[in-house]
Amino acid sequence: MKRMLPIEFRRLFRSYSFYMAIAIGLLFPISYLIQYIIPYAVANASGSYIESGVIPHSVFEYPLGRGSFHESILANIAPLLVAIPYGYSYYRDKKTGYIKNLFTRSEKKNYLVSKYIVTFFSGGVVLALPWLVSFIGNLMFLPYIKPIAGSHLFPMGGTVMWSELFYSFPSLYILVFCTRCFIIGGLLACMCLSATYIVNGIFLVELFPFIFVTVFNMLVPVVDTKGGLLNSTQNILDIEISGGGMTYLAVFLTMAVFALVSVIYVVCSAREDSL
Amino acid sequence: MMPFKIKYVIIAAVVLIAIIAGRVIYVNSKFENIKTVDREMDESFEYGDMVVTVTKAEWLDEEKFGEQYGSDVLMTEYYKSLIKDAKLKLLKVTVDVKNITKEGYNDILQWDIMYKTTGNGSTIFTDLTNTVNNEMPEDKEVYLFFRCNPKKFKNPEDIEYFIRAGLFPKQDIIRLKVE
Repeated sequence: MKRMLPIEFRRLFRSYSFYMAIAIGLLFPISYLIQYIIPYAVANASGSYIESGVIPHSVFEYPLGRGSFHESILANIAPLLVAIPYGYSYYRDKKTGYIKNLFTRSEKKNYLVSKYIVTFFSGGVVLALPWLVSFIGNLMFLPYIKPIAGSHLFPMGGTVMWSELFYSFPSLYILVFCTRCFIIGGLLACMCLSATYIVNGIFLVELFPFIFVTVFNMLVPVVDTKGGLLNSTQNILDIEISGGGMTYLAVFLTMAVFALVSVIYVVCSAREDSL
Repeated sequence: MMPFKIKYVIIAAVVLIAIIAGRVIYVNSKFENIKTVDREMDESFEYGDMVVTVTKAEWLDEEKFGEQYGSDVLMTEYYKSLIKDAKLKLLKVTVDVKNITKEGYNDILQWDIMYKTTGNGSTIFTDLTNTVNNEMPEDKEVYLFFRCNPKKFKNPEDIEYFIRAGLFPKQDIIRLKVE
């Protein structure tokens, strides 16, 4: 394990696909910054908020996704994006026979666990980074003003999930949200590992999380008619919580469903005598 | 293969963090005048031309409200069902206002009530006369009625009264003790 994990991480960090996926992901916060945040900063600088007696535009008022199409597109392409950096890796290792070279150096279990960890990490970073960069971008242009409950200016209802956290420790909420994105991204990326045993062809392996999530999102309103049990990826990747549909249980169960797909990888790879 | 020099990456990261930190400090230095003003109940403060004092806060139940004010007109079916369905409680807040102005009074109508950090109660109507007749109150005492979720207001002393209008640079939070 100690030998395999650095090898896998080195392969990830030296792959162009990892940086390409990050670059695509960062297009959204950067364009959001240019289109929305900088004009707000200019408006703040003009001092118009003092005359109108309203709050100046602040960091937590406009996190990525609030009232823009950027977050919507990002949430929709997220399953594709997370598969780009390392989703193909396991499939390619098997097809090219590279995997046999690795087994001369390490045990099968070490390789499989390392592959899962690095794939999870790659997907998580690619999905969490846009929101983190957006937050840092906001910090660089807008004043840090603690969200004011009841002002109806901020993207959280007073009684929804995590509202206490948002209004008490807003930066921590952003970090928690990024962690949520990281976990979702990681789980989606790891679907590619399972896809190796389900579909044939590197293109289909990379496309598998997207197909799964599309079907999942279509089924959520059918299966969970009352709400509160499952969330679509669009909801779970939305920083703005305005309704009661988002619950801790729904977030947990949705992640559990995504994690269940990885079971295919665990079971099938363990049963395989010869990879 | 992409060249990977960890030394350059660390230097770039340090420079980037320094730029971000500098920029954050610079931006926030321009908004140092914005701050929260905390007040206790019975503490007067100026609000435009008016002098405002929040003097009293008490819970009311629906029946008591009806008895006290005979208010089938005020307590519309909408609010009745709203309070009943959501199991909300009514909070009556008495505000003493001197030099009352129409603009200032309209601002007061926008006040919110909240528990600690979460916005959790809104004005449903103010004192009876002006609500019915849509006129300015003649007396100085103004009653504000809020619908509140008692689950969120477990500790009445934690209620904070928030003056939303004329928000910045002075944002007033008045901590209420409810009878």
